[in-house]
Amino acid sequence: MRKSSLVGIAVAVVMILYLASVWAKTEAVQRDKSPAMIDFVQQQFEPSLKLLAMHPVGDIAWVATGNAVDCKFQRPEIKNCWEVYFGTNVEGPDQGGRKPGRVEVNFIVDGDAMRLVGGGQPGDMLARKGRASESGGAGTSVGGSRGGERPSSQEHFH
Amino acid sequence: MNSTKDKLPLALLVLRLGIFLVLLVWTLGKFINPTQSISIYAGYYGVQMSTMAMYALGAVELVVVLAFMAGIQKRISRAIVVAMVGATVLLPGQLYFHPYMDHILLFFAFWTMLAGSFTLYSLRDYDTLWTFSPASSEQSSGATREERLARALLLLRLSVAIALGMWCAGKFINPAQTSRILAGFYSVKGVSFMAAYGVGILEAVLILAFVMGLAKRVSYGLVMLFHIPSVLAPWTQYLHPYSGHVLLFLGSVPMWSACFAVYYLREYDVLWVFSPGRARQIDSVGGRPVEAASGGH
Repeated sequence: MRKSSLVGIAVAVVMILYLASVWAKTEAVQRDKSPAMIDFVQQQFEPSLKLLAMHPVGDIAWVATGNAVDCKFQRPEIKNCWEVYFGTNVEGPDQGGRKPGRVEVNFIVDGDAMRLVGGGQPGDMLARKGRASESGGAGTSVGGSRGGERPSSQEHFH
Repeated sequence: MNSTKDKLPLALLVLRLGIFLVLLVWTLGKFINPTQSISIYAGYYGVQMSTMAMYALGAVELVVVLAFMAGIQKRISRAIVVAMVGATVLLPGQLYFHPYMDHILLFFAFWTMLAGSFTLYSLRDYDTLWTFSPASSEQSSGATREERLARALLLLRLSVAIALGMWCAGKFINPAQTSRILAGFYSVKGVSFMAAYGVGILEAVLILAFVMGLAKRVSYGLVMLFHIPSVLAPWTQYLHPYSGHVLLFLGSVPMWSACFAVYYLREYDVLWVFSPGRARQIDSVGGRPVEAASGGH
């Protein structure tokens, strides 16, 4: 094997080991803090009557992601940024006659200040439990062909 | 049919241009929106940097990127680019285990950019168009040009297939996303889940043919053509590259370059291909592929 190949492999190994240590730290933070972030959002929002009328089926998912891609690219000024995701499948009724669909809501949470950030409202799929919280920040999207869809900035390659 | 000597430089130039575009936008971002860069380095690489340090890094990176494009010190500049892109590919780390959340799918496009960077490193002696350094008379030792090219094409094909495969699987795992994306980026509204599944099945067939090297002209050509809308769809967002996730969208550009290279050089893509009734081998003297059976793709 050529010397340059060995150097390349050594650099790659060192890089992977270093990044693995960063990933491990991130994973530990994720494990420790995500329940608190989910709890923080759940204290303020609950499924709306409209959502319940659409007959959620299966599990309702709440996922908090620390160090989220959304945060790094959209809200880089927030040091301890979390994305809290709410998602559930619904049966309908559906105006287009297509079902089932998926309801998704994303919140951005500043983990240091413990506040919801970003403009907009949680849509009409989640309702505020009270008025004690600060201005809500979330994007709502409903799958299938239902109204109220928000063009997602999620991957667009199809 | 032209030989690789004629075709290879053009394919490498297209690859280099695609990768250069992304690298340049990344680099300029360190000056235009250092906050975003600082956030990315702190979050994903565990490195805390000041704004001034980010400017300095940007300046160094700019030198490397321009050397990469101009073909100066190819061995060093391209090795650094491979490392840079490799770090980007590794960046999401454990988030790859949740590929359908939080824009992780976008990172798969950078796998093709990594394969493209490696291709440009491995075949640097044959990358002669629009460079300051002409082809070296004393070319890389070790593997022959055709061996290197075949290996590079395999990597490019696999990386494109992985990226497309993940996006295709998304149509089944999260069809709501497919409906939203088609509505949001392509103005195709009201796509049902069944339609998303249908598109997914057709796409899966094409990807299988592509990864197996079946009917190369058709399968490689269709992949290259079908990827064009993905590159162009967010064109208005390209005007604001440092807002939202546009930096991630840019991965589709070198991915198209990879599709083009695989299509354009398809006759030299001989590793791990399934071509019934058609055996290829490398002519050890001329370094050109030889077909045992007649007929091109």
